[in-house]
Amino acid sequence: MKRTLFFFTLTLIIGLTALFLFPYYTINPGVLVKGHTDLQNNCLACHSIGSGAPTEKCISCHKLSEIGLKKVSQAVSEKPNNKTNLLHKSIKNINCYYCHTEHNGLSKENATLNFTHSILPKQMLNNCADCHTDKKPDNKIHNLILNDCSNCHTTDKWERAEFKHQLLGEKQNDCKDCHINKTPDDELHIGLDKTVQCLQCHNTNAWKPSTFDHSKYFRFDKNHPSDCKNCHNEQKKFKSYTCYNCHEHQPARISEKHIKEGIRDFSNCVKCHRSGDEDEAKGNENRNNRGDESDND
Amino acid sequence: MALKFVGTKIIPSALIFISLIISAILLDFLFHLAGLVWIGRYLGIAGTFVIIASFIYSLRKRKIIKSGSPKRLLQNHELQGWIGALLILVHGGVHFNAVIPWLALFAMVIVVASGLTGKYLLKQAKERLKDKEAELVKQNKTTDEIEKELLYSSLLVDTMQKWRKVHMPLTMIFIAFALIHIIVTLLMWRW
Repeated sequence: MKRTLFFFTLTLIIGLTALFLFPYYTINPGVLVKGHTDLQNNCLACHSIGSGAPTEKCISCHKLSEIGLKKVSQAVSEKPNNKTNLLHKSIKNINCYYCHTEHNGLSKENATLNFTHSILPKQMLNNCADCHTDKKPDNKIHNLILNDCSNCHTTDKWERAEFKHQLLGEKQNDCKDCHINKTPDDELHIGLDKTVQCLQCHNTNAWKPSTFDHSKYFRFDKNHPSDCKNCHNEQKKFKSYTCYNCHEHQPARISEKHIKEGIRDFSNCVKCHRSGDEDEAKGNENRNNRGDESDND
Repeated sequence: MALKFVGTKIIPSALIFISLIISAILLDFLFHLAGLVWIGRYLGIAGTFVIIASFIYSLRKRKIIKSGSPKRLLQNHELQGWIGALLILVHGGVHFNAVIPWLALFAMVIVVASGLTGKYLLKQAKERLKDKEAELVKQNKTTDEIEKELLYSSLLVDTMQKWRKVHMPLTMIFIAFALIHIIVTLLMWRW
């Protein structure tokens, strides 16, 4: 037992002596940043017993109001950084280790952890352009919108923008101002009167579905789904259509059926048939369509 | 004969040791791969507690605590020693910074190796004791005579005492270095 205790005590004495003589080599968990190399054997310059490296010790050298503008030695920085200065001046009650670390190598980059916007005071968060001075894109849409980037962008990533047309104010009605090449070149859209506005059928949330009321011409049902190509099989022509594309509507059969009923003019199906309901047509039948009767008149 | 000796005696102990080193490297690699390196810091704390738990056997052996089957506690000591060492090896990673934590880690690995040597020696001494018992039976000695002779046999006791003279100082060196590392971390780290 005595022998065992002897080894324990001897190791403890050797270890502690080495620790006090060469703290950097014996307990330092990693290389200090270049600017702190002169502190490498003076752990207590940054550390306090029991509380790590408190902010007070950092800011006793790195004065918040001077960060970015002056060096610790009070010499004016060769590359003054107002943005860094503004950031450090504005944040209060934040521990330095929230963004900075040490014992991570000589490079200054290694001593900076990921910055998060969450540490910024509210006032600063609302003024993105104070820091991101060069970030406002010079294009039509950004020129129309004022300064509040956070309406569309988040602090996580610039490119996850959620544009809201409402931000454009009155300008949101001038769709073609921005959507210059977006007008569809189909017969339906080209044929529209120039006074017709996109917003009469479409809204700013999504281009599709539009509020165009197809049921004025034909109502869809399970046998007649709203797939344009079912009936409008000529590309980009929506004014012409055909009902003769399915098993049910064979020209010879339809012709025979209508003639049997005494209907001679049945080229424009939707004139009488506004839905798949065959009986509905009976109410809509224009007696004048009955060629034989009109002939007799 | 020599091959059988290596296969049945040496290899099992060596495999336990090699599996410890390989598991530590693999686990450390996986943590790096998954970006979970920070977990390593806390594995040091977990490993320390597991190793402290393994010392229950030592307390039982010295009769400081009086309950618990020594055989079962020895098995726990071996298992907890292996798991604790694994967690601490991952905690240390392959970083060569401060000397004291590294000496503690190195001493720990040596202690594990020493423990496995002790396990082998104990097994071997027990087998030799069995052989001797068989020999005494062959000599037509009575059960009382056999028991008496084996009781005074210093085979097992001698071997283990000699081994303990190495194992205990190594353990103390490990504990002393680990203690310095733990106290410095407790004082300097922000908790």
